[in-house]
Amino acid sequence: MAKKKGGSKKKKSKTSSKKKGKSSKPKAQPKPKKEVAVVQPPVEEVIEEAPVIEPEEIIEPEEIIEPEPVEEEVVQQDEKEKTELSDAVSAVISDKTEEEKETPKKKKSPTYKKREKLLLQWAAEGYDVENMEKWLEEGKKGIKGIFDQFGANIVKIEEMKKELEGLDLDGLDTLVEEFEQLLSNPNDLENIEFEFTKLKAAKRIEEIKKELDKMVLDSLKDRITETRALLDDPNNIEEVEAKLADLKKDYKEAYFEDGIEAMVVTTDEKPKAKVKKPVPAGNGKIPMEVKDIFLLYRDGKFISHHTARVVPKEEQEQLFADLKTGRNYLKSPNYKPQKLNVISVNGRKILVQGGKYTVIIMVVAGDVNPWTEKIISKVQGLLEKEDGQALVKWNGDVASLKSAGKYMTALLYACMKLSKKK
Amino acid sequence: MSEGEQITDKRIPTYVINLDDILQGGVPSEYIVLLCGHAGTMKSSVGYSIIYNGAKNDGLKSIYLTLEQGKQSILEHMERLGMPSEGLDNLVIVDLSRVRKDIVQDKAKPQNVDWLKSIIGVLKNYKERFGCEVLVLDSLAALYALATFKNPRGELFHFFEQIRQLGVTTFLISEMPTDREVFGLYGIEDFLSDGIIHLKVESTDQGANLYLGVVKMRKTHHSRKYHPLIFESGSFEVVQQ
Repeated sequence: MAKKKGGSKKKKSKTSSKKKGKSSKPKAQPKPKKEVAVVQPPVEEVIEEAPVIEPEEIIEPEEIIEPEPVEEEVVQQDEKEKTELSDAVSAVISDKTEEEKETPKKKKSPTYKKREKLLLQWAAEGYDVENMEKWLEEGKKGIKGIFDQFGANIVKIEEMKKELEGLDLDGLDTLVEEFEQLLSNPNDLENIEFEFTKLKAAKRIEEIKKELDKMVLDSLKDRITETRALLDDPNNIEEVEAKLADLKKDYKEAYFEDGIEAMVVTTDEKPKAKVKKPVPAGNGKIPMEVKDIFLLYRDGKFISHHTARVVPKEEQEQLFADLKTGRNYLKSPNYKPQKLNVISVNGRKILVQGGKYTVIIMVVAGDVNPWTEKIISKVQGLLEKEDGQALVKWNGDVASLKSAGKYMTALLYACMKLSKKK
Repeated sequence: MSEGEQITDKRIPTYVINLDDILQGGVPSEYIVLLCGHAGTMKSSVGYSIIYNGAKNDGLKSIYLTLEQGKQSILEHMERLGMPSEGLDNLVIVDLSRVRKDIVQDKAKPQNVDWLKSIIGVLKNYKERFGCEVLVLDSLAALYALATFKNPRGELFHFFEQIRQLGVTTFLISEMPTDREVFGLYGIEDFLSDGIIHLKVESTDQGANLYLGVVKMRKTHHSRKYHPLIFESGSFEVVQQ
């Protein structure tokens, strides 16, 4: 009896210290076996049998050394006692009633005894042998195969335990505990293997998450997020592994390429190529949009209207109103000849610029581009030069102004081009 | 020590059949080697083949830095030559031709980029983070097109020194000028480098043959003969006559 208990204790403490060196997680101990509990001698008996030692000196109560645990003393018993205990264990394992015990024992075969020993050994190692004991006792058919399979399963479980000790499973304590509890039942190997695969997958997921955490490039942000989302389902692990391999490679490439873009070291000297003078940007944030252009004679007579849009009927009234506003402004004391005059009306702007003979009125939306004045001056100058003779004393004949259409169209397109710039 | 005899210092095998025997085991580790020749001499393919086989057989961490041909074009070409990159995590193709175009097109970015400094800077960071044992830079001519040298000799000397300090075995693909028999555009690359592998085409009655010769390889006893270079079944082979 003592042999079994002592053996069990010894094995357990060994496993425990091994685990301690690897990880602080407590290793799940298999539940105590029925036979082990039964064979333990009552504590009172052991204490009674213990030799009485006369104290050589008085020991203060604080210094009283606690007696060794009963189990440790049991280990010390001699071989004879062990044999007796072993027989007792066998008796208990057989689970016979008192009445049955009294009947003469049937002689056990050496194979039976060998199997009994095996069961003891496996029980001592922490495996659940309850069913095996039952089947042995019942003489279940194919018991040899059952024992062989049980032994083979234990070998596999031991291999798993070793592998488990080698894994860094920080952060997976609960899963590990649950898994370790399964290890006591070798008959459940299929489930154990399945759970072990799951545990390893969980570990791999943690590793992948750590790898993804290290990937910080904006250019791959979406792919990283997508891969991370897949990790929520452990069944996606194979897909994630495939994606991760590509992602890692692409990440390295992007790291280099983005790095070059982000880390460009400029040379001291200026670029060789002559930089074209940029068109100055408008002051406002909204680009200028030209709606209509009117060409008038200096006295306010209408010459022509130019636009790139189809003016809806409902806007025609407003259009005439804008023209009128612009024309009236020519008489305003604020009007500056040969300069760009800007009148703001209900969110749009009416630009008025007078030349030597003509006046150009533009209706625009958005902010006025600073280049507008120069462009109008240029166009106006060309027009007045080309049609100068007709304009000196213009008689109201629009047909006499041959270049007006050409230059006003040019002005319209030039202003539309400006509108693409802020 | 004679040619063909293997020596003990660390070398990077080229996996060009027979060339490693000529080089006593391969290119000494951390050397800068010019892989030069005129246009159409398979310089890029030989360069890629070296890192492809190194990554495949020895797990060498490598970068193919292209400044000319786009990444996709290279991958397709190499796959046709029997060198698919799939599954080779250690072989990374960095497409700086795309980056160059992006920078040139985006006027908001500084246009006067010091490419030499930038490449060295990023290479250094990359090596620290992911590791890099072999680099192929394709090509020097494209790099020169980007860089503006005030003092080419001094700046190239500095560039080569910085590469050397990285501790990466480097193959610089150099397109030789057609008007001169020099291995680099500035005529100084040959003495700045530790080794020169020259590829050339020679016309014969039946067509043109490709030849490879080791012009220079420090710490290596090698012949200076030119050997026919053939490509068969996904491998380059130097034919020993």
